[in-house]
Amino acid sequence: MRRRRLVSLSIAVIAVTGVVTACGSSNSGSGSSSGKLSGTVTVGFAGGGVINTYMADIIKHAEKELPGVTIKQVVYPTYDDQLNELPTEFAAGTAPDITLWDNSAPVAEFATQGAIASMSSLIGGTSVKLSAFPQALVNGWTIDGKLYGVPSYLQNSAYVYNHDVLGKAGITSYPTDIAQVGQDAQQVKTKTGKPGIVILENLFHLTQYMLAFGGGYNYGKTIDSAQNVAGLNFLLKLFADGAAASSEQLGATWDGVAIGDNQAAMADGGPWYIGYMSTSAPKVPYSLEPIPSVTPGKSVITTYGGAYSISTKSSDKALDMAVVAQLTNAWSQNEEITTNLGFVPAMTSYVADYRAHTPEYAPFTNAVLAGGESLNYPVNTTAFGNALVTGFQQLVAAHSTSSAALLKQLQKQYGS
Amino acid sequence: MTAYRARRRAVRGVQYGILSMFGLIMAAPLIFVIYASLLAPSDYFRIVAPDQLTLQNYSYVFGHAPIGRWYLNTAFVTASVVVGAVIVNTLASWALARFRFTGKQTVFLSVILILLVPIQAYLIPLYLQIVNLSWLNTYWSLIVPFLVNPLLIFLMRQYFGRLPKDLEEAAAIDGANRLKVFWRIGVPLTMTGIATQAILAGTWTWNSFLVPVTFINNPSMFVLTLGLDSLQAQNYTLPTVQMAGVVLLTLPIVVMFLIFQRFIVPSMASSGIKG
Amino acid sequence: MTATTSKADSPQRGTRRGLRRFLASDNPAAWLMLAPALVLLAWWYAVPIVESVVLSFQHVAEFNFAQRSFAGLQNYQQLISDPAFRKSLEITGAFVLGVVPAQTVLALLIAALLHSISRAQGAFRTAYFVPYMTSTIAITTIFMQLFVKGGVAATALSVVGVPNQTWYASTHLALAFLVIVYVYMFVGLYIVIFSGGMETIPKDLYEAASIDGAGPFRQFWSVTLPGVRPFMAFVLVTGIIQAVQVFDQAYVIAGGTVLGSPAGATSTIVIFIYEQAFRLLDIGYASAATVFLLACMIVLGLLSRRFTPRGDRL
Repeated sequence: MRRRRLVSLSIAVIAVTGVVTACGSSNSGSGSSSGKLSGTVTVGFAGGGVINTYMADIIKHAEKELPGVTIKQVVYPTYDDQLNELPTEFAAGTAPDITLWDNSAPVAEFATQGAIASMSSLIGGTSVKLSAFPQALVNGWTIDGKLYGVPSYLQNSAYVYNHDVLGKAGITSYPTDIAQVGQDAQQVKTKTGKPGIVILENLFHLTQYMLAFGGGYNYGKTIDSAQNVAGLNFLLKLFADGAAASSEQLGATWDGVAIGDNQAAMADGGPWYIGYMSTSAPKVPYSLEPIPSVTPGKSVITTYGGAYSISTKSSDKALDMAVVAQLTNAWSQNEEITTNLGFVPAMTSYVADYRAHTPEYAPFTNAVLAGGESLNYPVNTTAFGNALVTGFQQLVAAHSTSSAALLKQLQKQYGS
Repeated sequence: MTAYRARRRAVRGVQYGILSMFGLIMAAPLIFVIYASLLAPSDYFRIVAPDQLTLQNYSYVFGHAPIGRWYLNTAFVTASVVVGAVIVNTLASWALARFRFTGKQTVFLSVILILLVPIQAYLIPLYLQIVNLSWLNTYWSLIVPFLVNPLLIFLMRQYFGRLPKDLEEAAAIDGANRLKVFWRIGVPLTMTGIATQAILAGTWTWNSFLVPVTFINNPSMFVLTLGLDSLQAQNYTLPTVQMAGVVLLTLPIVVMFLIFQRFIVPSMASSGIKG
Repeated sequence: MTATTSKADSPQRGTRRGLRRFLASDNPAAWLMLAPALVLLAWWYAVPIVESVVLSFQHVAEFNFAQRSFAGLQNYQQLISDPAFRKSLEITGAFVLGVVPAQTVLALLIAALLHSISRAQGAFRTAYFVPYMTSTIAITTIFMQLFVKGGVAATALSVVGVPNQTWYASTHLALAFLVIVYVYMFVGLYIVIFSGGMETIPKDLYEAASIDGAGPFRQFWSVTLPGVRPFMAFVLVTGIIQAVQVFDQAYVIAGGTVLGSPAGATSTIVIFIYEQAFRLLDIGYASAATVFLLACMIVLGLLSRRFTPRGDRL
């Protein structure tokens, strides 16, 4: 869902790197040997629009706090482009020292393969307090017990309800559990002919349904768990009955377009709907709620978000860490609100402020602060995601309703 | 006599009819895009009266993005590649088509061989080469690798091969050397081929995305495709603005095509070289 | 001017006579004119391609290009037993068979029509070239709208028996959709090529033919077709090579889901290579696929040479 974010929140200030400075890491700092930090650091992010303003602000602020340090921006046209370029850049040694991205990306892969550096040993000397962030978010950036990113903004998943379509199907109250969601979807199909659920078929979205059933991957340990199977079977049954459709099938580039066009009743989504619906489908009544779970009355929420990572090939990681500390401090969190960045600040103390600013976010704040599932994809995330999605699409095409065999095979191939 | 004329007119009518229909089908998407770009965002996907058309999407783009800079970068890179590529390719293909020399077949087959490899396959080694030269985020990286193009060499060779074989001999009798034959006779006779080269090299460079996105991440060096990609991503809620972006990208090459395709005309060669 | 050679005369570069002959022949001028192109080709194409070939025999660390180890034929062995690779070859083959005849015949006919009229040729040519000039994303997205279930094209074609569904989301129809979009975008290019080629046919050949009483079809058959032979060769060869390398349209179809969507139905060979190199970060494996592709194309090329009449051979 990275593309659908209003702002790719790419905090990575990277000024013009390549031309003048040598290839590879442009970190030419003298480090902290003299006690005072100095040098040049590159920060990479996906730019355009509000993010540029935000990053410019916090970079200027950081440079003021760290005299002697220059922060240069490396800007990618879009977040998708950033994710496409990063692997090659890490492998060639030309990646920015600091990268801002979020952990719906295959972060674990980069961590375990040595592209990004563990921060556990570096974080001690800085002002970063991990307790200021939601635990689920920190967990998402902790792989094998080591921290790989300092959080900057929050994302969470939610369930979207299109009240127009639901109303036409005679549904006026929220489903109390996920089984009810299925029934409602069937009802929408029978009464209106439209699919009750729309889903963009990728790793992230498929995972939300598994999490709703109490599943999860636990970094590859529980790929073929009964809960995961239940989650996929839930979707497969609806697909077979025509009560669920992929956004592709509906001619939509992502699920939000389908919801906004009243082509489906429900979808798994997140706060990125807020900006989209207000501009593209302002007249459509919708709401965002936590995702129903298997237990009536209880809901599920996934907490993940953006963070700054440090490249292993960076020459002065202590300097990088100091800059990261500046880019994630209270001041920068407040800036997210004042610049209307469109992202939720990661620091829990500011989440309430965001809610005041953006009332549509209210239903989540407590759930996000209280807990939330982490996205703990299997370590070979990209390969796993490809196999999962392709396998799922094949099952849909064959009108199959059982995912047990697929998940078992994936456990064998990608399990740990 | 009149029956013949009438039949000819009918045939002409059918010919123009088919060509026009086909033309309409081919041009329809661009017409739609242009139309959509002139709609207010709330009017998207509707048909409105002409007085409801607006330029607000364009002023939005110009106001929200350094599009002037993007145009400058793209124009500079494209012009450099077109000029350079036409020269390099034409010289090489003349030699391949008109001369007999040792290694001629090998060279030509190598050109075809290189054509067989898709850029996605060797982009990473190419990237590493660019990195080693410190050419990341420079115009060099976007221009120099594209000053030669195997496809265009192949194309020009076919054009040059069409010219009568006795061309060189006739000129030699008049005392002209090889290079003079090329410059004075060959080139003017194949303006069609050169114009085609310019169109193709220009279109490819102007529209290229994969290479620039790999070599450039400095916003001031963005070319149009990168910049507009950024714009589209930010404004995915405003499809009319996205349409304006497509128009801003496409219209300049349409203009370029209109200019260059004038040279795709019957060349002197088609009137034959008679003694 | 050509030197006659007898056994006693055979060129020996080492000898003065041979050197003089070399300098008097075409060689110096030819190599001079070729020099810039050859240098650039070697530097920017040959070197990276050779590097790719070398990589195909290596294992490269995921995030470290500098860390390589010799792997012998392992990548190739893995490739041969990889069902996804075999599938991508099949898909590419089917795609090429769908695209090349369609675009070649269509381009030829339209160019011939264009050649026979005298006005507005430029305008028509421009219109036909528009899809090739417009961004792939824009054209593909528009076509996706047309071929969505209930969309204009999907509904129209359901009349001839194709079930009304979203073409590019169906495992059966996605490849057909890809063919349609691709031909639409590329036919303009080949029309321009043929059109330019037809302009080089001497007009008096047509005059002679019509004096002999040949009508338009006969003229097309005996004057135009033979006249565009070298360009037909170009369009076929280039058409096949470009079709084999299809990537952009398939990339756009995949949208936010996995490349090759749906369920690998549009996973062409270059999509496979790209996925391996840029997503799965196995450049050695991707390079092996590239070399394999290259080998296939070379074999095909050699085979086709056998069956091409001598005069038409490149």
